[in-house]
Amino acid sequence: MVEPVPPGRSHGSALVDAVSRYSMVGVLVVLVAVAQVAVPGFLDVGNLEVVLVNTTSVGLVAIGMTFVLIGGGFDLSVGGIFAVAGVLFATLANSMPVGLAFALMVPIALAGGLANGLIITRLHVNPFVATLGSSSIFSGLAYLINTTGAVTVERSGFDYLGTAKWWNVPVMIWILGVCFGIGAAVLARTVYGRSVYIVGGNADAARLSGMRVSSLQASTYALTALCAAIGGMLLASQTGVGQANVGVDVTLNSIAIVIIGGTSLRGGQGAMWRTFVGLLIIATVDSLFNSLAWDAATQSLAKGAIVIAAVALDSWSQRRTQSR
Amino acid sequence: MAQRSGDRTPAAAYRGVSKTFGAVTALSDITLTIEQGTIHALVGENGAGKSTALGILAGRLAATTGTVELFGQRLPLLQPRESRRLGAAAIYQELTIAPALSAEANVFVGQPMSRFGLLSTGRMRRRYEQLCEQLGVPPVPPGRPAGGLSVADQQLLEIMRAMASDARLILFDEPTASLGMSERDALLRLLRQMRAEGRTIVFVSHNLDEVLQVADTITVFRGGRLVRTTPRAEISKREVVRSMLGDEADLSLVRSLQGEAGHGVGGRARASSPAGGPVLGVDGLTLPGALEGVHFEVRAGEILGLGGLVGSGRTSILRALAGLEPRASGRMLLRGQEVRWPRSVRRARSYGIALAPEDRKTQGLALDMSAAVNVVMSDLRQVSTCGWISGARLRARAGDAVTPFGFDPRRVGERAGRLSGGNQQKLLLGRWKHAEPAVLLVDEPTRGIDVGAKEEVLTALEEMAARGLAIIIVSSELEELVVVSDRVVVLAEGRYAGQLDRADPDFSISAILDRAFSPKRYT
Repeated sequence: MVEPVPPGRSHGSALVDAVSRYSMVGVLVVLVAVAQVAVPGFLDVGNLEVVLVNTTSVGLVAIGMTFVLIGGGFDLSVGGIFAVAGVLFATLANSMPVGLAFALMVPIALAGGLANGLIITRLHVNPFVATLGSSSIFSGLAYLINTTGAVTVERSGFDYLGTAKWWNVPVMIWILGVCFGIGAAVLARTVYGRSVYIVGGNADAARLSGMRVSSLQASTYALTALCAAIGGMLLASQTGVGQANVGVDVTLNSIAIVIIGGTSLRGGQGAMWRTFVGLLIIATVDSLFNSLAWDAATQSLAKGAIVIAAVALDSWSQRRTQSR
Repeated sequence: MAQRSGDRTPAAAYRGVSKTFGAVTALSDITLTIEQGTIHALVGENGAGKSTALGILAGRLAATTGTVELFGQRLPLLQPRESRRLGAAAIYQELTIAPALSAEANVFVGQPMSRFGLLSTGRMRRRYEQLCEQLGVPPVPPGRPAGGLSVADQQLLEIMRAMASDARLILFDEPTASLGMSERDALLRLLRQMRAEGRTIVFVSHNLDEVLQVADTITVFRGGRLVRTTPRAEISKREVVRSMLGDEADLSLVRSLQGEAGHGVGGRARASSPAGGPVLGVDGLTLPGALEGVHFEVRAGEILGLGGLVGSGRTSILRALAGLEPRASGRMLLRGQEVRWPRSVRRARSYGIALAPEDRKTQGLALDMSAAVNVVMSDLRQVSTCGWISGARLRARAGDAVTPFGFDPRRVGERAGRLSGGNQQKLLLGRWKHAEPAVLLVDEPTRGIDVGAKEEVLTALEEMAARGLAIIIVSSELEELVVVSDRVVVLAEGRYAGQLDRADPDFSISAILDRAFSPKRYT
């Protein structure tokens, strides 16, 4: 005997579901239209290139942040990692080939993120507190390494990733695209990605199903640290210097990108394409603000309000589905 | 409330109430009056609309159309406080316990006893003890954080909360689902006592015996519609079941479980399955504060029931076996080989021991994910190649795993949280059909699910056993244990209190209760 499908299923709700599912795409379209009207030439290829390149480094951080949030965690340390990675990369590049410096940074970043993950999963420290603390440690390290304000790099090739073009498209954009592609495929199509969703959705159920809950959660922090470090190194490459004070906005911006895209803070829900939409929204808003010549203070106010509004919206729609 | 009879405003009245959740109609045009001073039972299968009807009275859900009145006053939409003010108190199926607060504080949530803004701790403690006494249960430790208590104790706290209130209308959603026999009887007594005090009680229950025993009026729901409202005296159990299931239902399926005359426990006598060798042996299992020196063994193809009262340690045994109790100790023999006691879930899983937990929503399922993912999460490798998941294989394997339980495979794409309790339970069992363990521990597999689904779940467990799985089952429904188990190990206060075999002439509920109440004679 099969339980009957509840009576009264109509077609109207499929539309409602679709609208709420893709509402952020609609917001993006509207914003782009507004930007095109307010700033003639916004949609020109040259301008789009600049907009994208400017958001590439923080976009990479958001890719990692997507994994952490879906896995039910939270990471406030990405700004610190972002900064220390840029500074350390520049310092290393002064004494060894750039490629080697870059390669060396990968295990260092993974180790930093794994430390976050182990503190959270093994010592059972609340993720907010743990990563708030480690963020302070990471940015402290950045200032320790860089006592002079900025690490300048003499070696040629340091700025290659940040400034070169392949087939007329900046390398930065290539990297962003490839990372988003890999991130989306891993999250949606692999055992690892699906496990992250399950652990974030219900850790107890995952544990009872025999999953390595702690290791999976810790791995999302390692992955995020790697993404943040790559973002920091790309920014250093783009500007030609490693600076300790660059990570300040990165944490809020990367979290904002993920949440605005519609990935839930509650864990277990979200998708990489959503983060990409969120990135485009933030990029458009930033570009709009700059064109309107808003000062940094006003921009900061506006962005904070946008983030809070996005979370409130997420929480409101959660309550709506739950009362069902 | 000295009101002349005949001049009584009804305690509650629904007038043309409908409720839709998105596209799903949960209640359709209900008109129903609940008289003061009566016990009114709402029955029906899962998803029939009973709990929704209750939620609307409590002000927790808003009716889509129609109005609700409490004691003659119209209840505004979605105003739990207003519902409380008009005299209604609700106890929900999902517990609303604040885990960090003490047991006592949970009872007085929302209605603390105070004088000049200061809490009257002494008065609250006395009232708390008095409530325990009225319920006829040993006092739940008042200072313990409620989160650390068993589900049964938490349920007791909820009931005490309603009793402590001065509510004139008490709404119960499955009040006895997690209670043992003695608490259950005490609660039914208490319902009558409340009625004698002039209070009105509306309760939802899957236990028809209980309903027939205590209710004055029975309202049957089916598919969101009200089928009938009948005084208890004018309806038989058979008629209730028929109204619940509709005409097309195969009554023979449910008859045995319902204990219809002449088809009691024996009506479903399950052929003693040819049990294989011992799969799991346990000796001297001890868990500080819960278990002491428990021993038993389970064979391949056998269903072993754990019987006993609430608090006897049944669930603790399952948790200890599943690796959830790091402080557990004892000897474990796995196919005759002694192994270290599992103190982590992963170790237990490596021994081939898997648990289908009691609390489906918090421990069992990822409610936001699809039914299919909830099934295959026990082993994602089976639906993947080199770490890449195939969506088609995922759905196909999930469908294969749940179809034997009577779950429609076309629904595996739906969100688990939107399925009924019965279907959710089928997902949990399907999970361990997908990744077959050697020993399956099942905790309260039929709690809060409807009659038809109950039958399907039990049949599925028997089939899994027939294919060589060893199953250990815990159920508060002793009748169910007797129906489904090959052997029952009885526990009393954390100790082994005897064993009953299906072949024994006195294999019955009363034999289990005998041992549970007076363990000394049988050990």
